[in-house]
Amino acid sequence: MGRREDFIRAINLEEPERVPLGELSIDPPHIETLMCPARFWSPEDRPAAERIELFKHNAEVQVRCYDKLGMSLVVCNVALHPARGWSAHVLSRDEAEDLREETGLRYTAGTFVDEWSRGMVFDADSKVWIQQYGTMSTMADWEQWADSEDCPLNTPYAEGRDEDAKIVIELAEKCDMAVAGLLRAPFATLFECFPVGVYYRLQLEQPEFINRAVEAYTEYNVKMVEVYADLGCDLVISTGDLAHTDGPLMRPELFDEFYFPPLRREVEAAHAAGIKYAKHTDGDVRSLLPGLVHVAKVDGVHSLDPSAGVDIGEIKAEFGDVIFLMGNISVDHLALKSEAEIVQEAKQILRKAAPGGGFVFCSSNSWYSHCKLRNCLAYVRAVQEYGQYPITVE
Amino acid sequence: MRKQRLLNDISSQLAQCARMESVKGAVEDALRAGAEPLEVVDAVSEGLDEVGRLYDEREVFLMELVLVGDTASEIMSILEPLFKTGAPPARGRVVIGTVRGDLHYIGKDIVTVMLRSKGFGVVDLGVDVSADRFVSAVREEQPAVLGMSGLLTTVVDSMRETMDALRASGLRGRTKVMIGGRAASEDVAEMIGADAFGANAVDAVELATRFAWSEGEVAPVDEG
Repeated sequence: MGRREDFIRAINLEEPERVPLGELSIDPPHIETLMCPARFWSPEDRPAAERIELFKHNAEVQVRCYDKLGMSLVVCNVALHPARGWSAHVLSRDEAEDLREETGLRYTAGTFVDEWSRGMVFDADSKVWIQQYGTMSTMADWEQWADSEDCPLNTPYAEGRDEDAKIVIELAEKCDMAVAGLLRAPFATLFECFPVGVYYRLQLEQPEFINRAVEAYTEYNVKMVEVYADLGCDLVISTGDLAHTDGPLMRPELFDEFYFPPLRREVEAAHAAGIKYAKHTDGDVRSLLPGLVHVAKVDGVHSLDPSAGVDIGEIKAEFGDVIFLMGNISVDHLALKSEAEIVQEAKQILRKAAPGGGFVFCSSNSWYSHCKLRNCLAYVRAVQEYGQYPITVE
Repeated sequence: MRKQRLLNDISSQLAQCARMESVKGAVEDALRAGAEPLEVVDAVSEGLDEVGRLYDEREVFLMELVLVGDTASEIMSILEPLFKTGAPPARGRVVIGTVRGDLHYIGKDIVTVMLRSKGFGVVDLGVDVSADRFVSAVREEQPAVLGMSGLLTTVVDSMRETMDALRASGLRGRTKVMIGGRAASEDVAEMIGADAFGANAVDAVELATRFAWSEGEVAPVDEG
């Protein structure tokens, strides 16, 4: 049985031969360390005409790294991949200052506003762009954006969105790995384009607007699910947090009313296309799991953040018959603990979550640049050593 | 009697995360009924305390905390022109920032809003703040409290560097230091020599109140 088959069995709630390994993301500095002397090419260093060569090169570095690590899964992104011709305009200090004065929002030098109206900042340590601020302050702003011709909601099939994913999928196939297509949850996409307080006021005071916006994002995601299935992905994973360390970001009943029924449509679209659907969230997701499982009917959940108090053994006991689990070695421990402690943690997770199948081993988020690489490698080795079925780890 | 009822209404509306317009209406009613601006500040403060308690009990969620903080800040801006000095008496000054190497801001922003809405003067240094910038701000602003936030585990080193720089500059004794965010903990606070760890925004406000009070800044308005 190959790695991809192990993964497929796991997400079908079966026992594979080995516990599959899968990471949603490994920060570029780790990949470059592991693949030295190969390095990622930066878009700034390549002329636009070499766009495809750049994708090919970077995908090669990434997928070969996952392959070298023995991972069973790689991810690709069509949903948030910009259309061909779209380019980021990084704000200068003056531009940011003018925009701040004009709007009262947080525009910052060195950031750019992405297709989804989110202010993004480059984190030099991890070498990734992360969401930093919202650029809308009213419903009218959102409506104007959503009505615009080049809004991604109106251009889901724009040329260029899928060109990187196609390359990743082709390479993954050669390496016998499963592929997950990434989606962004409507909840996250919506609240990230506003300041959080503004978003939540709209959530409470303008429910019809929220329904309209969620509907638009859901329609987009349903189309993306179909695109991923056509490209040959085995599942989709919806990113964007619903919870934080203390619990859900907002009242669980609001998720039940506004977000989980539309999420079910995305899940049903995945099932109609013959692929699985998993939801990622950091934080203490426990009070949201009944809604995710019974209302949205997701096939799996990712992360199961132990730093927020989530015990994967308890989740397995309660939901292990109906959903597959992806988790959950603590990213905090990967940053702070010793290799020996990480191996013990990995063995404990295997003992709790692996028996019976339906389990993919991964970190509780991703391999951040601040995680010690030797710790990440230690858990990979531990899973390879102790993750053979039947699980007998002491 | 009516005035007190209206002041109580402000507190309870805040505690129930009522709509901004409704809380503003309650404030205007209280002022019309003869409430002093400072009494309204007290009522707002009581409402925030209740929200904090409910958050600790998991009956209020993070986004509600942000919302209530926004509402309270808005009320403070309504009250500001009514004070003869142009501003309500500050409980104390807080310098806050996310430490070098970390760009996360939501937790810091929530603490900032909550502190401002409780009457603190807050100097928000933003994210990715170097030890030198923290030290300069402490020198210039002379805050009762310095707050450092960090989500990424590795930024504990940045917190330590800031503490070292504060000590080296001779300013450590002039300000209390509290840390927060996912990277922080009681252990980290002890390890780097900070005065306290706040597990969430509610904790941070309580700590700042205690520190500002102990530093002899203006007495907390709701602790009669």
